[in-house]
Amino acid sequence: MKKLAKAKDKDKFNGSNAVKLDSKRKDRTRNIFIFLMLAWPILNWLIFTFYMNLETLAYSFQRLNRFTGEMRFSGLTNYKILFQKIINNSDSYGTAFRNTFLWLGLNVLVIGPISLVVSYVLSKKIPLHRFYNAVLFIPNIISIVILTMVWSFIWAPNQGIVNDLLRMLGLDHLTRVWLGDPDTALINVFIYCVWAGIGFNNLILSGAIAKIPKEILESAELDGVSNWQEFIHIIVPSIWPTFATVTILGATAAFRVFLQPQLLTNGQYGTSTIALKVVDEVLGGGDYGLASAAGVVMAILGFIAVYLIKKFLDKMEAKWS
Amino acid sequence: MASITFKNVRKVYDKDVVAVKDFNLEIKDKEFIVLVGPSGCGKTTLLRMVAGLEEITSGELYIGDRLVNNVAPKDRDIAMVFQNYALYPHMTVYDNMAFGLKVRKIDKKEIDKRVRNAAKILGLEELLKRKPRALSGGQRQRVAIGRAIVRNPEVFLMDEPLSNLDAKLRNEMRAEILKLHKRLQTTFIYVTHDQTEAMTLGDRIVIMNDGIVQQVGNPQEVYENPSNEFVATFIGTPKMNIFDGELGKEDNRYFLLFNGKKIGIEEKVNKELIDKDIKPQSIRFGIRPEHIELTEESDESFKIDVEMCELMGHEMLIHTSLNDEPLVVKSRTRFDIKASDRVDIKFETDRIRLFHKESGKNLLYCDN
Ligand SMILES: Nc1ncnc2c1ncn2[C@@H]1O[C@H](COP(=O)(O)OP(=O)(O)OP(=O)(O)O)[C@@H](O)[C@H]1O
Ligand SMILES: [Mg+2]
Repeated sequence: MKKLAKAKDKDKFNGSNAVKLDSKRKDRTRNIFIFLMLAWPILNWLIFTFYMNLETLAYSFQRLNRFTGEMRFSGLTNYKILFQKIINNSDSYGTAFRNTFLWLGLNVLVIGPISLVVSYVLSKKIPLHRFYNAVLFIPNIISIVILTMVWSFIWAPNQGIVNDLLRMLGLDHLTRVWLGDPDTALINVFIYCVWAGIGFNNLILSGAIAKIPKEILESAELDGVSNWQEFIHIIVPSIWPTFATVTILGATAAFRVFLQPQLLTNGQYGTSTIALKVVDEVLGGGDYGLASAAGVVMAILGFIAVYLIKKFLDKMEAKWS
Repeated sequence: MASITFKNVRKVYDKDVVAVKDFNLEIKDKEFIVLVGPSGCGKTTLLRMVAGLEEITSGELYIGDRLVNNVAPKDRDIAMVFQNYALYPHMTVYDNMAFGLKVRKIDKKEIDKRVRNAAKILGLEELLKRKPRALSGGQRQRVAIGRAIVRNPEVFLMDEPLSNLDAKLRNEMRAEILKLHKRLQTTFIYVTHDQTEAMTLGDRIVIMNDGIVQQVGNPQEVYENPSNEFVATFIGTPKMNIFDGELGKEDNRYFLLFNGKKIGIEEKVNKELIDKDIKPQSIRFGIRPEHIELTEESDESFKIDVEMCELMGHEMLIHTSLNDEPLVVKSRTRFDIKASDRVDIKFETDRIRLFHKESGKNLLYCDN
């Protein structure tokens, strides 16, 4: 009996020792793992974010001498040029500036809330909800080049479905060159962004809605809520942190919008954005210094805007948690 | 006017999970009814059907005289306390209670009056501004009850509301709930799988197993006169001892043959057996631990070897076995018994209950 107990004790001892060794080894592997996983993003950040941003900042204070090809310090000249261009709307810099903020409004005040409502409606397991979920997500798995192409076909002046439909209904006077008309081009690009943007948000928000405990919704049902009351008083507060994330992502994305107008209208007809202007200047061998100044200004404005939005979102979250 | 009537109610989930089979029950207005049964027997399902959260597969459910099978939950005038309380996490205690009234567009002053009144009854006055996560389990549970009270419902449904509380709090809340029922004068349906809770709370208790009602009756009836072996062993702690035996008959006298001994049967029971013309047969019989006496050796006594003793203060549980079946004796008189002692016991023969060997039905049970 005693022997057995001793043997057991020994076992225990060995056991704990083994555990110690094991945990040491685990620690080391863990550290190596962390290092390897972080190495790439850090390098990436150092080169593409830190260095390039510093360089952009530097460029924004320099102007290119076209004859010598030299960059020369020039103080705030680039910024002055930028503000003049915005105020005078030369090269449609003013429109681009305005559009960037319209996009901010679109992403934050339109696409976010629409996504929320759509996710809520689909969470009610309405007929075909799986199908709608899938359809809404499709834009996220197809290249934007193809998507915008399809979109242009739909709105094309001669063979496009929309104009064909209008003609069929005898509404010929309403047909137009949707993407080539300053009156409709911007709205049209916006609608494209809504259509293409809901799916991703919906995916995230649906997940959050599905995680709300069933009993809470049932309690609300017994309390006699209407769908609208349930949405406002139960759903929105419950998933607010997720919605806040979606909103912040949307807000930051607004300052980077350029592909959509570039591919749909080539930035014409009043659809350009500052980001697209920067791209054009840089790729088109234009004004490097000006582009850098625009980038810096947008970064600062973007930072302020996102900060304010985040503050509002946090305030609501504090109220509800 | 909030009686509740179940007529052949049946619930099938996903086409093949039968949760409730042919449930029939009439609950009187203002009655405190307790549904009790082992896990998975369909209690929650039944409650959810009353609340309207679960569709009734077939059968009829009436609240008052109104057939409610197709009435929406909010139009049933019912409040439910969920097992996990289901408080709204983002609302204060006050708003949790007020929400159901705000939604119904009740006057602000009236809401305030009702919420404060409920808070007073439940001792929540200090906590009205807190959020649920800053409350203890017992406090949350009271908020859940408060949320139901303010609505002034016709029917109160409670699904194991005390199961998350510690023993002391559970006892306290049990008393509180009884008081509440007295004060509110409404119909309560209370679900639990704890038979002590059922016995202490219910005007009547409904014992369920496998989606079927096993017995309905007041606690005393159910305890004294279980309709079958399931109820006999489910109600009462420690549970009733059950043995195999033979029911014999000689010259109009029934007796029980067990462990090589002949146990006489009480005159009253004998008469009932004769009236029912029960044939001599192999049976199962049950005797509660408190109905076994420690005695001197005699013709009708059995020798047992004590395996373990639990002293509970005012009583002692003696664990042993007899005829290869476990046996528990509850002694209120002698506390000097130790494990591996050898003692003599005797059954109080008028307390023996006889069950059919296959079906488990109480041979003498009559439903009244
Ligand atoms: N939504 C559902 N879908 C399918 N089967 C279900 C569903 N809800 C319950 N069931 C099944 O129905 C039966 C009864 O479940 P119910 O929840 O009513 O039991 P219960 O008596 O409340 O048990 P417990 O004491 O554990 O709460 C169980 O077999 C369960 O698995
Ligand atoms: Mg249950």
